[in-house]
Order: sequence, then structure tokens, then C-alpha cells
Amino acid sequence: MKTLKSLLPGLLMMMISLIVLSQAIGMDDTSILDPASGSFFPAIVGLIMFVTGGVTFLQERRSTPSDGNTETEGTNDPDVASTTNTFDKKDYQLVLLYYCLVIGFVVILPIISFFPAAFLFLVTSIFFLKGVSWRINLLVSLGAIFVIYFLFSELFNIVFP
Amino acid sequence: MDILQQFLIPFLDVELFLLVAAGTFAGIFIGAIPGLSVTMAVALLLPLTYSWEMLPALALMLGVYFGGVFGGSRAAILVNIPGAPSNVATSLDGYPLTQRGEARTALTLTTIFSFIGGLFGVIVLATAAPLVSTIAIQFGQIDYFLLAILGLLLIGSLSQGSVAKGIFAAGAGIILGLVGMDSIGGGTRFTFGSLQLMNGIDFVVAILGLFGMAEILYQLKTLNEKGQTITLKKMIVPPLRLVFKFLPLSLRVNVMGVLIGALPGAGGEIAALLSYDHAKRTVKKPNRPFGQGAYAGVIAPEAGNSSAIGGALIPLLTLGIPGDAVTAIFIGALFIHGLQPGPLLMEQSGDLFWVMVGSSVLANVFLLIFGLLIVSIFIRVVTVPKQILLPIIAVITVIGAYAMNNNMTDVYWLLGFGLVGFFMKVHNFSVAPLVLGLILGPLIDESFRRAYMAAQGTPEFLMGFVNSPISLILTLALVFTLFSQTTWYERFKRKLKER
Repeated sequence: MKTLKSLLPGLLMMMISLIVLSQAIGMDDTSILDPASGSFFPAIVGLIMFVTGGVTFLQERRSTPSDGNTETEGTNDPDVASTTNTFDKKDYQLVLLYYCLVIGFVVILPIISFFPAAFLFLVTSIFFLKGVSWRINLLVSLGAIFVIYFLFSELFNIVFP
Repeated sequence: MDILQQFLIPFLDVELFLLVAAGTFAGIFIGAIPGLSVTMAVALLLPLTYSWEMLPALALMLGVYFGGVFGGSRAAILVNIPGAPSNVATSLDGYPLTQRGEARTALTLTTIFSFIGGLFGVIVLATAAPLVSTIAIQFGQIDYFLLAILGLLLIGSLSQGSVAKGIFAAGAGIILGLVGMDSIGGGTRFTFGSLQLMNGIDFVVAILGLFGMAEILYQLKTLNEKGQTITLKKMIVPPLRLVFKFLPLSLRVNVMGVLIGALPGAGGEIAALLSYDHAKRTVKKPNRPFGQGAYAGVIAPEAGNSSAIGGALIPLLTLGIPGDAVTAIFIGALFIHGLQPGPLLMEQSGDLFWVMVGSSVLANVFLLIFGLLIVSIFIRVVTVPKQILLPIIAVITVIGAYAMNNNMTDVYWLLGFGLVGFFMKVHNFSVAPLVLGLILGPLIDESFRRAYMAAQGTPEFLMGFVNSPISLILTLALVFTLFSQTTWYERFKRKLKER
């Protein structure tokens, strides 16, 4: 019995392809049948993406439950193979919480300016990731902010938000 | 004799000598910081040319250029965040080498082969610039299209998991590359009516998100696991032996790099990707499979993108056409001083040409010296606890994305790409084909449409693939590459071996 989770990538790929195709077809003043128009190439790409989505869906459907651990099997991609275990619920929670911290940093950055926002983010996230004493945390956070500020602002004249 | 004297000026003039050294040193660090680009650094130096003499300003800019392109590989190898698009291919094997504790070997090898590549590019610039520019100028739109398609065939090399997922990721990259104003038709594509999407998506921001932010999120899993700390191994294999072993590969990709660098609009990133693919196809017995820390996988792209610099300087100095964004700034610098880059430059200001060649050679020498000396400084990054390293990288990527165009929209894109990249990693989608699509998509679209419009109908367009020597060679290379990816080719090779 195939779980929806294993079939999801293929389904998602087909859905994204259909969005691309519909956008290509719906472009103003262009025709997908005219090779010189702006929608011809995107339509072809959308079509190829749809086919690859279909292939992935069928591949996942055909795979037996025993080789359901397709997360890492049969790949030697360093991006993929560096961690052989799959992400469990606890890992996803950690990722989600940390991602929220980064979003928080991005949101407060234009409001309270670079120094306080980056300091708050660094102190909070180093504390959140555990294993570093408060003293080192504060020292590293302050040091990193000054180096980043010097490089980007003083050397490259970038005006921080 | 005059030529030799002019060539030696940067070596003998203390001011120029020190400026090239300072530029190269600064360039290495600038290139290594994600978000700080070589283009940005050279552009910031442009105002100097108003108040400085021409030669010191150019010497400094050349130092930053060579150092910056090289510096991008440091971050790609150590933390899997390419400093620039031309270092994307380096991260594919560079980061696995770091994870295996072989960062020192990777950094040393890339330094040596960047030096060789850079020097090769400058030698071609000095000896065969007119010939290379003649070839480059004959490249038509259909040739650019063929070259970009050849680059796109790298998907097979880059997506080592599922090829279908790799093709999908490349397609998604192409579509993302097409977002914004259509430069030919004038309409908008995939903007969903948003004004902020009109300018398109900066692929450096995409790289920062897909590699940097995604890597941060992905690494969180290993944070508290024991045995995940990287222990640095000493260089087991003497680098000199490896240098001799990979010299033929390096020379082959150097030729490729110079030619691609000389093509306007096709810079170090395409040179590096094609060089990686070439290494993968031609190195029969790598020390370990590509993608898992093959030495050839870090050597080829770095040798390719370094030689592309010399290539990019060729059309600038011989035709007045910039080979990439950085050389476009060099044109600005020459204009400020009343010089006209182009065919007359060498006749009217031949001294300037040879001083630039001398400065470039010197920059490469400093690149080798600094590169080898500061390996032990860079390598310490790996030993920093992840609890400290990941938050600092997060701040640098956020500020780096903002710094691209000084606007927060790029930061939101960074966050989006970070999340997409993370899920792609978790679900076995290679990130590299997406970046490949982003880089090549607009080039394929534009060159294809321009070539079609220039032809009088479909038959003439199709004839364009074979009616010039360059097109014919590229078409044959394309057919061969496609054929080499089929099972027929494998059977054919086996039969040949049996005989």
C-alpha cells in the first residue's frame, strides 16, 4: 500500500508543472505555437517538467514497500548522502523553530536596525542550539556583528536596513 | 624588448607590486564571503580611477578580480556555500572532501590549479588574443543556444539521485530564470502581476538560499549527534604527485575555460560547470566517485573558472566587448581615462596592454602564495562548533542577500529558496541542476528566439545548426554528448574493448 507521503513529490511536481504550463499558455500577446514568442520555450519546459513529475510518480508507485526508504538509497549525491538518516518529527520541529528565528531576525531587521537585531538573533540562536556558555555566546555575537558591520558597511558602503 | 620592459613594470615598480598584492589578498577574502561579489568589489574600486593614475587603479582591480574568483571556492569547499556562481561546481566534491577531513588537500589543490588556470588564461591573452577574439566574434545566436544546451546536458552529471528529479529541478530553475520582463517581446512572464518580480530573480540570491540557508537548516539535524565533528586529516597524498597526475586534465579544461570566458555573456560559471562535466566524463578512475569527494571534481571547475578570467579579458582588450560583468567595469575604467577599448587599443596604448598582462601574471603568483599560506587560517572555520558557525552564516547570508541590490525583497527570496533547498535535499532533489537552469535558462531562451527570428523560417533555422564550422562542431558535440548518455554507447564501448 503506497503512502501519500511517498507519492507526494511526484504529485507536487505535476501540480507545479501544470501551473507553469497554464502561465505559459495564458501569457498576453504570445502564442505557444510560435517559436519566436515568449511563451513557446516556457511551455516546452513546463511540458518536460510534467513528464518528469509523471515518471517520478510512477517510479514511486512501482517501488515495493521494502525499498520505501528511498530517501537516500541509490544516490551518491553529497547534498543528499551526507546524512543517511531521514528527518523525523523532532528534527522537523528543530528546523521549523530555527527557521522561525531567522524569519524573526529578517522581520525586526528594518524595524530596530542591524546592530540590535543581529545581536538579538545571534545570542538567541546560539542559546537555542545549546552547548555554548553565555560568556562565549556574548563575546562571539558581539565580535561577529562588528566584523560583519565593518566588512559590509564600512568597506562596501552598504546601507543597512 | 619594449614589450618585456612594459611587462615587467608591475614586478619592478614597488607601488604597482604592492597594489597587486593587496588587491589579490583582499579579493580572496571578499570572494570567500557569501554575498560579497567580485563585481561589487571591482565596481567599488572604479571611483578610484578618477583620482588615481590609470596603471595603479587597474593593477589593484586586476588583483581583486583574480583573488575574488579564487576566494569563492574557499566557502564552497569549507561550508558548502559557493562564494559566486562560478564556484557552484566546486562545492559538489569540495564539501564532501571537507566532511571527510580532507579540506586541507582540497584547498591546496584548488589553489595550485587556480594558479595554473589563471596563468594559462593570461598566456593565451598575451600570445593568441587576436585569434581567440576572432573565433569568439564568429559565435552566432544559434551557437550560444547550442553551447547553453550543452551546458544543460550537465543535468545528467549533477543529478546523481533520480534523473527525472534532476530534469525537473533544472526546468524549475529555467522558469525561475525567466521570471520578469521579457527582454525580446517586452511583456512580463511568471510575475503573477507583482511589480517586485518585474526585475527577475538574482541568481546569486538563489544560490545563497539554496546552498547557504538550506545547508544551515539541513545541518541542524546533525547538531547534537556524536561523531559529527569533522576531524582534519593531514595531507596523505603529496600534492605534487596529484599536481602531475591532474595536469593534463587541467590543461584541457583551461583551453575550454579561455574559450568560454572569451564569449561575451558566458563567463566563469559556465566554464566551471562544463569543466566539471568534462572531468566526470574523462577521468576513468577517480580516487572516489564524483559527488563524494573526487579530487578531479574540485580541480576541474577551479582550473576552468580561473582560465576564464584571461579569456574574458581578450574581447575587452581586442574588441572592446566585455566578456563578463567585471570586464564591463574595466571598460568603464578605460573610458574614464579617455582610452577606447577595442582593436586600436593595442596600437595606441600597447604599453597598457602589457602592463595589464604583467599585473595579471603577478596577481596569479600572489594568489598561489597567499592561497597556500592562508589555508591554515581558512581551515579553522571547519573546527568552529556548529552552534556558533550556523547562526553567523545565517546573518552573513541574510545581509549578503540584502547587499546584492540593497532591498529586503531579495532577503525574502533568500528565505523562500532556503526552505525550497532544504526540502529538495530531504526529498533527494539535487540542488545543482536548479542553479544550472537559473544560469542557463535566460541564455537558452534569448539565443533560441533571436536565432529563430534571424532565420527565414524553420528550414533555414534548422540549417543554421550545420552551416558554419562552429555550429557544426557544437552540434556534433551535442549529438555525441546525448549519445554518450545512452545504453547504446555503453554497448558500443564494450564491443570496442572486446575487440
